[in-house]
Amino acid sequence: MESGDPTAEVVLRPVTALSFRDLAEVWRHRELLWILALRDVRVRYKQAALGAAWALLQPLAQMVIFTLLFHRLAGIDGDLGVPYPVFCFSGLTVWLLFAGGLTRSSESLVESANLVTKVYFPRVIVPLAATVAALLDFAVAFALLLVMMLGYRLPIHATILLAPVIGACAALCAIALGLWTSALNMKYRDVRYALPFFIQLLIYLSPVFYPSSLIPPRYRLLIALNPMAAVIDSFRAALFGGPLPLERLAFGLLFVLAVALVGFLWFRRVERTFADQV
Amino acid sequence: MSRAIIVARGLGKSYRLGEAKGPGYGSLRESLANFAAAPARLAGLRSRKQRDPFWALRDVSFEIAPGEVVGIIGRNGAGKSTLLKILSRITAPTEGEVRLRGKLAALLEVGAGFHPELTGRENVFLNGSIMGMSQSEVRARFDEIVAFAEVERFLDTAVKHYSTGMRVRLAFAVAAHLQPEILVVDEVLAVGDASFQRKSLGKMQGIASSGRTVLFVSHNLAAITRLCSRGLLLSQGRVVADGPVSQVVSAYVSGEAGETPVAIDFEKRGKVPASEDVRLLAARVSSEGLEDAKVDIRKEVRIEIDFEVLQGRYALNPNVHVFNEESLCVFISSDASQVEHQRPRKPGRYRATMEIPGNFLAEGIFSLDVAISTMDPVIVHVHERGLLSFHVQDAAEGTARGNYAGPYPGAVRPILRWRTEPL
Repeated sequence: MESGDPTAEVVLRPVTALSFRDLAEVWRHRELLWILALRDVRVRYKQAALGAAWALLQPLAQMVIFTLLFHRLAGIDGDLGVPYPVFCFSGLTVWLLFAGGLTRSSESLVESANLVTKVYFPRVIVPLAATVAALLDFAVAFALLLVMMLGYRLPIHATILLAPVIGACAALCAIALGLWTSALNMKYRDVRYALPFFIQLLIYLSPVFYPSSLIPPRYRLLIALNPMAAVIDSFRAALFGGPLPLERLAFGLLFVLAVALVGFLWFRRVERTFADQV
Repeated sequence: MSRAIIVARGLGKSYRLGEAKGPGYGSLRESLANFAAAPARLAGLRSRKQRDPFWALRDVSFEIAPGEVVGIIGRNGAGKSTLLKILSRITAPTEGEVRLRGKLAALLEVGAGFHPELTGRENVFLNGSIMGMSQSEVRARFDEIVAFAEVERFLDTAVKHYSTGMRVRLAFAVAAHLQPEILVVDEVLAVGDASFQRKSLGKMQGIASSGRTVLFVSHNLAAITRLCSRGLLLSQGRVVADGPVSQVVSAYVSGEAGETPVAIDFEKRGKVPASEDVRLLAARVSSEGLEDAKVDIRKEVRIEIDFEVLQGRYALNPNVHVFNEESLCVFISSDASQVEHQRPRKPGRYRATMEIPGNFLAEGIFSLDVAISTMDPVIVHVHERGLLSFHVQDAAEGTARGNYAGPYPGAVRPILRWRTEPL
């Protein structure tokens, strides 16, 4: 059956398994995805006096603190290859994309309750749009990162073109989890309390303010289980030149894709009960 | 005979009681506890009291042909909103199925797709997109939408500064210009002013006469009768009458359908409108010689409201809003008008009785909202729209009409004191 065919028939039944029509339906609503993302961004900064500067303030403040705390006081150094502030800021840029995307997508459905109970559209658009909105913050931070690199007179490698692609991988990690957390949050507000805690823990388990090389070899396997570690390392390799850990990245992405796919299937199963839950 | 555009078969929707209303989510802990108790339940040890499901809709079957304009009527809680929510794909049916053979646009609540921080212009695009219009389609109809909604001057103002009337105009304009094959409109028009109501009814008529299908829910029986050709009467989740609109409306008003619009007992139905402070138990209309919801214009009409005060934090004042067929609010009355009722009552059950004197209301069908509110601070605890209705008939003897038999307009028809003396 073709989309757009006026005689197209929609059958509404009790919640059942997924069909490929569902994917086509999400595709047809891609414009809505963009509009909702833009709405999120506009609304977020509309009444903030500093506006979009907030997108910079957060990573900058964290960078300063991490530099003082971990570099100056704890003396994390290792073979960074670049000055610590740049090293740290690059990690934060991609980390905050993940953390921001995950946080926003988790809250997105609950915040859109008035839409979900009154209008029909594929619900998966809502957490997706929230993640896309986080990409815009990422773009702003990324621009500042480039300025910093120029300021420190670091060489710009051609692989820098890969950096946004790797950033997209961080967004994928966010949405893979966000599909689960946003839908769970509709039913169990526990998510709201558990998630910041989880993200807080995960930043220490990811090479954001320390290099992966600092981790003793016997724990490396554990780090390999965290796809964000591979993403952050790859992001830095693309920026500062260095061998891309492609194997780890591919392994991590496969895992994330699987989580995202199962999450999507599950999301489509439960989405038609959302309106009964808020 | 063309093929039906909507086919519903054996449609049903059940809620577990306590799930449908109020804080609908439990904590994870509760779910885990249930999960842990599952083996015990399997073994026949029922650790948890089984809650009966509440069927908001049951065994609903109908077919609607393209171009039909169908009015869905029934009192509150009859299942109208649930039916519309299923048709517009907001919630899934528990059983049965619906086949929709065309694009459907639904307007279930005022400005549901609006974001208060965004401007009118931004919201038109957002709302259009949510309803499935492409940006180029919205752009093509933008001027038309704005002109219909009469909000040109406020296009770049945030919607949070709009009045309710402006919001409903804009929302209706977007939905009506979507050019859907099926347009579903719930109660919303009641919010707009009279001239906008006329305009939007006209628009719906236009949509219908261009061969598209309209489903319309309203408490305004006059509007339903004027606009729709077919009526569907729901009562307690079932279709109890389906046919030409005039027959269905009179079946509703006369209470032929087994349920009278003059009394409702929420406790018996098992679904009680409530807040933390008060429960609305029952409401009824009584009048001497009341039959088939028909009231003699000369007789006093009493409205009784039974309610239960759960905690004595606030002064809880029952109040009644009386609307006529034009959706004009004839008056609002509250027991807060008496000083001694402005204090909190002790928890317990109460019955409030309001008396509308004879020879006061005009002829026609009146529809009543029943609410329980606190005036200071303003809190609306319970507000049930169109809860009761009755039909006032003029006996043409001993009434304000006198011997005059022609049309006699006016929302009220009091006998006032006249004196005429030679000058």
